[in-house]
Amino acid sequence: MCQLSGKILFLLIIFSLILGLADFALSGQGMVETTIIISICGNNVIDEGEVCDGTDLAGKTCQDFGYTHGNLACSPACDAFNISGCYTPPSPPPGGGGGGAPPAETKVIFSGRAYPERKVTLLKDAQISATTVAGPDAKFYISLSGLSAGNYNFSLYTEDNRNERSSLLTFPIYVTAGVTTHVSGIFISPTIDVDKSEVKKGDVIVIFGQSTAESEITIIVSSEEEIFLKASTDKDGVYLYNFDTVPLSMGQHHTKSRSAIEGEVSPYSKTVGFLVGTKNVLKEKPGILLGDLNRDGRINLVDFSIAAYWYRRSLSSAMKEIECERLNCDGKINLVDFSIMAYYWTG
Amino acid sequence: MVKTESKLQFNIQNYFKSFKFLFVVFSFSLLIFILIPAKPIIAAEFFFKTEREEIGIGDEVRINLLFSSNQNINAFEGKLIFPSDLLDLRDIQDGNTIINLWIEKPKAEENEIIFSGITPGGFKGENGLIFSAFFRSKKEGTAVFSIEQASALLHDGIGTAAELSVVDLQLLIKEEAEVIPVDRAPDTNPPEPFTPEIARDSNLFEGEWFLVFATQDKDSGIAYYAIHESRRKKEANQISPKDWTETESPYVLQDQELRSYIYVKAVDRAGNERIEVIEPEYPVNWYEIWWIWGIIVIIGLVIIYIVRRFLWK
Repeated sequence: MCQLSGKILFLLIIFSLILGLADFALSGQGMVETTIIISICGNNVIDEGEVCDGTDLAGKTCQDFGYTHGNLACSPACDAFNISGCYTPPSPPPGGGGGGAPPAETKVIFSGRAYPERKVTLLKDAQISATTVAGPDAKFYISLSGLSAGNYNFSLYTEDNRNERSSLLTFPIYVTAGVTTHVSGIFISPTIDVDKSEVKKGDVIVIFGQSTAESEITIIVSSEEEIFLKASTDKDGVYLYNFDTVPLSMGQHHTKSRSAIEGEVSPYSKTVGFLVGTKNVLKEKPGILLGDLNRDGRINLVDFSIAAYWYRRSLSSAMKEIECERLNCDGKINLVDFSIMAYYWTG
Repeated sequence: MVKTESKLQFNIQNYFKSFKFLFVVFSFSLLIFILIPAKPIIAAEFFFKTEREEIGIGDEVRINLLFSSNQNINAFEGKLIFPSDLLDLRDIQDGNTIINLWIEKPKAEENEIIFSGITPGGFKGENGLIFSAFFRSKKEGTAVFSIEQASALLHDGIGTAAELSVVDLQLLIKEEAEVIPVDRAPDTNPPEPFTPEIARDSNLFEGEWFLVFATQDKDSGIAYYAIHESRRKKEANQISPKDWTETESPYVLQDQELRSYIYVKAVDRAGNERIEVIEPEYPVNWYEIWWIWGIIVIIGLVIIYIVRRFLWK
């Protein structure tokens, strides 16, 4: 009996040790430590396990793949060569002039859904690089060419029928020379707003916004338990929901929405807040745009430059007022203010 | 018969014992599995990458400062610390960086490189390059690279600080190690096209007109910007090198009447240039140009001379 207990104890310790170690390994601690030495794709240096990396092509050219012209590239995962930029021009006809295929263009094509007949803006590395207007079905298409190979941060946003902007949808993309990159299935999040900044408990608050035409909108209202509401957009992409506040407790609440159509689902919208209290207060359209330091309705390089000028300097009284109104009101310009600006950025 | 029953009873007892044993082991293991908390996955991380972890004296090495995050981050800052007694900083390159706008472009001060910047829309992903620093080793030792005062803020509209970790890097400098030059890819591409913008704000430069501009170079990074203002339209290659003023954004315009063509040149570290031109807001009219009046006067005088000399008679 004593021997059996000893055996059980020994086995328990071994088994627990194995499980404990497995847990430790699964927790990712080891992985964090190794990230400093594992090979990285995108640093233009071939590391262990990589076939190529960015501009480092291990001395290979298109000629090594049987082509006479063009630019060899590396796949985004650094595991293969990309020969789509290689070509062999056709032989010139006897007695005729030269010719041949032009070198492949480096471009990125964006397509997806926005709001019907509303302007869609594309930012490339934080600056406006293209705009277009979505069709009546809310679909849009933007083609951007003349790019160099490298990492880009592309962002898209649209504006609704009240000129409210959607959230920025961002795509970090590695663009390969001579390759057309397609970014399809983009679904810009809906806009959302409420008609009251404070609603009397038990009264109705109207939640509304715009998305793609004839889509299903899921509205989430924060409460002790989240409340899920369903609405539909009309042919103009507009939705509206009269929400009875009976189930909500007194205090601050938030709501956000997302859109779905034909199996595609958008990201969540921005979040808007409202107070459930003892009276109804209509929400005024905010005249203040956070991050807009020069009050021109845009948050761009000009605002960035103004903030950068005052970065870590003591603010003038006029600037203090602006900082309080349009940034985080802590009496100084620091990284937090720039983060707010980056969130509301319009280009 | 009795013997068989007893054997059967014994087997059943054994079965229950082993079942009990397994149950105890399973329960105990489950308890340990639940009670030992899994280490939380790091939300954001600054770390380094180098091609070699051992270099010789007089050798050059590239150190990449990288960033990974499973949350969307839009603002970054920190101070890269390196041992200046062991290494000389030769160059800093920010080509292909994930930072779209530098608040403080990476700049060396004694044994540190200070940087801060933002990425509108945010960055979420792995191995995003912040910048590369090139060092030359001076003497034997172990060089430790670390980041101090590091900060990464969430893309949430209020600038919440992300949970951040920093992984240091150790570089061994040995006398007998092989000296291998750093392979720098040639940069033949000019910086990216950009759109400078003229603006005015009462909180900046006492309300004077200024110019803002920014672009990126995907290879070696931007070295500097230069500006030339002229009331006369020129081809960019007609502008003499001495007429360019090296500057940074924002730049206070010399011509506050906004009557000049403004040429903005972005030059990368390999010397490739991109020049953008801004048309004047209020172009100079022909009758405001003195030399046109000079020509008119000369032509007039010639006509008068001809009339008096030849036709008057």
